[in-house]
Amino acid sequence: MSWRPSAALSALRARAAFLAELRAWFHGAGYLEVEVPSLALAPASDPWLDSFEVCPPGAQSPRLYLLTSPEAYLKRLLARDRVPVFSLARAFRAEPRGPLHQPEFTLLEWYQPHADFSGACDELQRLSEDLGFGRPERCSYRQLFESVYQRNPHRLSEAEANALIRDHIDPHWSNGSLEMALNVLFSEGCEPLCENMLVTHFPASQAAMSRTLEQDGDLVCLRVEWYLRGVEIANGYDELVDGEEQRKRASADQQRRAVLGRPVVPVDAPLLSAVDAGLPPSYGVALGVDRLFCARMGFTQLADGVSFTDVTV
Amino acid sequence: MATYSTNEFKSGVKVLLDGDPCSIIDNEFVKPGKGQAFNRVRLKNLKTGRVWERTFKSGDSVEAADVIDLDMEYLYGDGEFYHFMMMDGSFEQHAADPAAVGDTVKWLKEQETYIVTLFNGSPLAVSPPNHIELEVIETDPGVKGDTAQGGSKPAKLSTGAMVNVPLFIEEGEILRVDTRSGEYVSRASRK
Repeated sequence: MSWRPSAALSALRARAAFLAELRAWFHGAGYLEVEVPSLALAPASDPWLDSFEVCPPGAQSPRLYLLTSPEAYLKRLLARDRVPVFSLARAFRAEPRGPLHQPEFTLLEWYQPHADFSGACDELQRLSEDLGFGRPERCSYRQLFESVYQRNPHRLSEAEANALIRDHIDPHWSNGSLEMALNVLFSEGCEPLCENMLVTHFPASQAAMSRTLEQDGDLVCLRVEWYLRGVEIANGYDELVDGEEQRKRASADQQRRAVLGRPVVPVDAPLLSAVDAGLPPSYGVALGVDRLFCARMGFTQLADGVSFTDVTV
Repeated sequence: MATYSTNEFKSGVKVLLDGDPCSIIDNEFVKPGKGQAFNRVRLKNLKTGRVWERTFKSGDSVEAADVIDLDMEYLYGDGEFYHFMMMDGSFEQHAADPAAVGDTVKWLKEQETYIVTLFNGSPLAVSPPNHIELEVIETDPGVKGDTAQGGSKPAKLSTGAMVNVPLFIEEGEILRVDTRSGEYVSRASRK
């Protein structure tokens, strides 16, 4: 492995300016920049998110976790102070390195209280325009999916979704869960079409911490993803503020982890208490800064836009 | 039975797919923000040479292929098989059929070293060295004085391969040829 840094000096200079530009944009939009810890007692519960576990020297437990996002800390701030906040910091995911993946990356995450889903979409459109990417189109997950596969994604059975993969993507595909199959169909067939697009109303099975609702008889979630040149850049939620529902999803995630044979992680009790104490209706967005910077520079791999890429999992 | 999981899919790893041995070219980990990851994998079918693109769920495993590349010396062809000998001192011989030798047949020279790929112990493919020295057995007479610029003519080499050579090359000369491009590199020496 070379000792040399990954990105060229000219790219590092452009990146420093880009970070300043992002910060200025959020300051200008009335957000308070906050720093929260990278370490936590409980990680994200999403069944498919792998957190790095940290063990202090000599100790077997308690384990600490490097955060996959500052979500829980930022929501606790939101529950008490109810002001718009953003964090621009490193996040960690125990996933292999790839052209568009690094186990450690820069994440910009922000929360806007007393605002709803359409506010999140409007704001992402403004951000895209102000950063010089132009105005993103808006499209629902269902519209986009139907334009490619002529099927309503919310009404597909597991067998039908797997059959669609074999028809359109890989005739040798071996069956996966409905959720897995939808991921493959969407990533391979739909994302490449998203030049600059906000995709909204994902299937409720992909809700994570967003609110769900019924639309045209289908259960969907209030999630928006911003794609640039086929690459996922940001992910916004109309945040779940119902303590009861939050508790249900956390325990469903834990059961799911156990069934899948994945590490079972502690419940984030302070987060649940914060939601119980009362979270204002809010939206939250997480944005991959490394990817956005590479899109700005026309780089097709993160290695051209980040200082070092030594680590993989 | 040995298997490889998707996180062990590195370039060059040999796996068995639909009964055919394949070599992994590259493996891209694709992770949607939410949800299970999958892998986009490109593999070369070592039997047909075709490149396959496959999608695997992350964590899936596939059977390892018993494939090994060995240096062997080419001995002779008997009209049906091509015979190679191991160079590890064992003098063990392997007979490759025309399908295994494939296009390499036009670069087969006795006592030259080739990479023979064995699948379950039998020759699957034969790769020539990148450069090989062969004699010109047939070409138009050389053009005197024209040693520098332009112009080429076809020449037939001792193995049957046809290459384009500069106009000054004569029959009987030994040429250095790049087997990857099939192009003339230089004169090797005078016979």
